Amino acid sequence: MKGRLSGIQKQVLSLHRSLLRAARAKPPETREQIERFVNAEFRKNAAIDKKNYQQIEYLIRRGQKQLEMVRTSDGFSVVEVK
Amino acid sequence: MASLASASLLNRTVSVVSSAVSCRNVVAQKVSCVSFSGLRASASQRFSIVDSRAVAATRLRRISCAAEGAEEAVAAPAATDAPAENVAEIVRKVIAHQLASPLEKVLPNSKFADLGADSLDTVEIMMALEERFDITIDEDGAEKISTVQEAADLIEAEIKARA
Repeated sequence: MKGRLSGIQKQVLSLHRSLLRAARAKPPETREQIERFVNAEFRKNAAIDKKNYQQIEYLIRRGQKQLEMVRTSDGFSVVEVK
Repeated sequence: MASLASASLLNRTVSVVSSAVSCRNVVAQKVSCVSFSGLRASASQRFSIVDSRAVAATRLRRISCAAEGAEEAVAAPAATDAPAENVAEIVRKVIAHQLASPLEKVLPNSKFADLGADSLDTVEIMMALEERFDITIDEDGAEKISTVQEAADLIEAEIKARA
């Protein structure tokens, strides 16, 4: 599994990590919500066909926007905006 | 065993202090009674790394410089029946916890994949380990890891590099 990840897979994992890192800066309760949400989202979409680049790219962009929101906002609610 | 390793470090001061290492409370107490600004950094790290032999030894060396004359305050703790956990042990626990699997199944040579962890789980494990040890594991490092032991080794190296 390791070391044979495609570029796009690495990108996804890196986003996952960045989101969890960003969540650390939040108060415990918010943080836990964010972590749960983030982990669930990635899990939910993990089954997408790995050739479905369009969908994956779209989700990555969405995740990046959410990451920005987590970084810049105090709250959590914005994260759920789709 | 942290206390043994560091007892051989040198003088009496060190051995007195070292007997405190396996007990966080005593370490905390110790640090608070020595007013030496250089200790601040290690004081703030103590919860995350108190179990690490390497770092504990480094800290002891630093403490011992400041501990002259503070020995009576360290009144040898009745401490050492709870041995300091080593990194590998903690790593196993964190991984078992993250994967909700029994500790007995998480062995040093277990592969994450065999434990049922996919790459997303691995990210979560790495993040949890980072936090537990108060270190940063870079992505390249994290991607090379496939067994529990490798994770422990990486963390030990990281802790040493930082000490």
